[in-house]
Amino acid sequence: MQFQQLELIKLKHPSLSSSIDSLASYISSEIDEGRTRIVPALASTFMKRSEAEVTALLMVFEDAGLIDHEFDIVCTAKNSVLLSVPDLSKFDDLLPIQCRLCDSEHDPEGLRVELVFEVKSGQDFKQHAA
Amino acid sequence: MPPKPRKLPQSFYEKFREMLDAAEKCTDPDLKKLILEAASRYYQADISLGLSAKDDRGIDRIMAMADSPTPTAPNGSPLTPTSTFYRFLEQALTLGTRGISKSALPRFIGFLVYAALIGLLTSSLLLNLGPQVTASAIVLLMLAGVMSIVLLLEIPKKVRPVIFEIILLLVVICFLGVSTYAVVKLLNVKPVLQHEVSDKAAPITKVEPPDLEARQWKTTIRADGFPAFEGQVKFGADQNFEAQGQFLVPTEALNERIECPAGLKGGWSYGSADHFVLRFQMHLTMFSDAGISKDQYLQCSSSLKPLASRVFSKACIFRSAVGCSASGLDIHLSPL
Repeated sequence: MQFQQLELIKLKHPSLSSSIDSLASYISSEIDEGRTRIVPALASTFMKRSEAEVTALLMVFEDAGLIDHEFDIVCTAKNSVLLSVPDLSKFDDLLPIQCRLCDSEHDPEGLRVELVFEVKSGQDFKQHAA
Repeated sequence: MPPKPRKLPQSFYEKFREMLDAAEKCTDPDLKKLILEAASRYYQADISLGLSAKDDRGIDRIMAMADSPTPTAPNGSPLTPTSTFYRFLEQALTLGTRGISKSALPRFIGFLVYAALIGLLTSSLLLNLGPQVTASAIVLLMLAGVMSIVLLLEIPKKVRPVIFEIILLLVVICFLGVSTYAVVKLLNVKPVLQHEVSDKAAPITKVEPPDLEARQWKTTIRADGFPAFEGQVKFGADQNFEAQGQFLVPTEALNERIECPAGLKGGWSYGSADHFVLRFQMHLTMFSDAGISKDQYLQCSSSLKPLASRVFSKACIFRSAVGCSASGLDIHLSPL
């Protein structure tokens, strides 16, 4: 079913077909390396496309049910992920966020939010994208 | 009750803008639509009131961009050069606080604008450029400050951005106009009548210079190194002149002068085609004891003898129909 959705999108947007294949290939290689978190910035480097374009393509994969998005809340000082949340609607309630590395509490000024995607099932993905 | 605005890290807002910029540049309509959709889903939707101009149709509007042949900004207005200009100014005027890019150029330009306005205000006061320049500088400086505050409060995103852009444009135009006026005034540039003279250039008004050869003139000449001269002068067609009259030689008594009968000779020529510049050369030809006492003559002699060999040469500009002046030379003429 998921595979069909992805194929439908490729049929709907034939100009994106090669990009979708390229991204699928990247995600497969990440899974092979044991990584299931897809960072758009890293994928864009691999694909030699802009981060915005890759984010858009990842959204297509999410619509196909292959991946889910979440937001990493990162300490800018130590560059470490403090939290991952599915949406930011309750971001205010999370503040201030305790950072063990800095041994302090961070307000939005000391934080960065990064969009990442999590592969739902590496096995399924490889089957669908193969 | 409206939802409480959330304050997310600044980088999140920047990412949203990067997405929109990328969509703007994207030539593939399918991909462009997907980028806008992704921007809306992952960034704008979660930013809620925190980003920009989220009126009731906020998300609908951004989605409408994808179908529109004209790219639009997050606030729904067309992404025209004016919008780019607005965003650039936003970063400039807020000195980078409202960042649209990591470039330091807008911040630098903003700094220059503030420095120029303060410089304009200071120079208008110090150099006495006139109340108009001072008032304009104060008004513009205040406007720039108010706009900066307005931008920081994100008010333009809640009202009509186009109106704000127009106001910004007008402020910039006014600033450039006042600056140009101040610079022109500082340089004393008169485009209509500018004459190149060897001496310090001075502003002149649009008057007719006198026709020197037309008649005899009653004259007063004040020249460096000479006592003041009063008398009659005739400018000849051969570009020589002769003057008869008296030098007013100062005495030791305050405000007292001895009138020493004397004559002047010299040459003259126009230094410009429109006869505004007079090249003037003179020397003392004689002085006499006619009509003065012996004591007075002795005083005249002691003052004027050293001048007998001196030749005075200078160019001056006619500021009026009867007056020509330069640094160290002032000639006043009145018809006889």
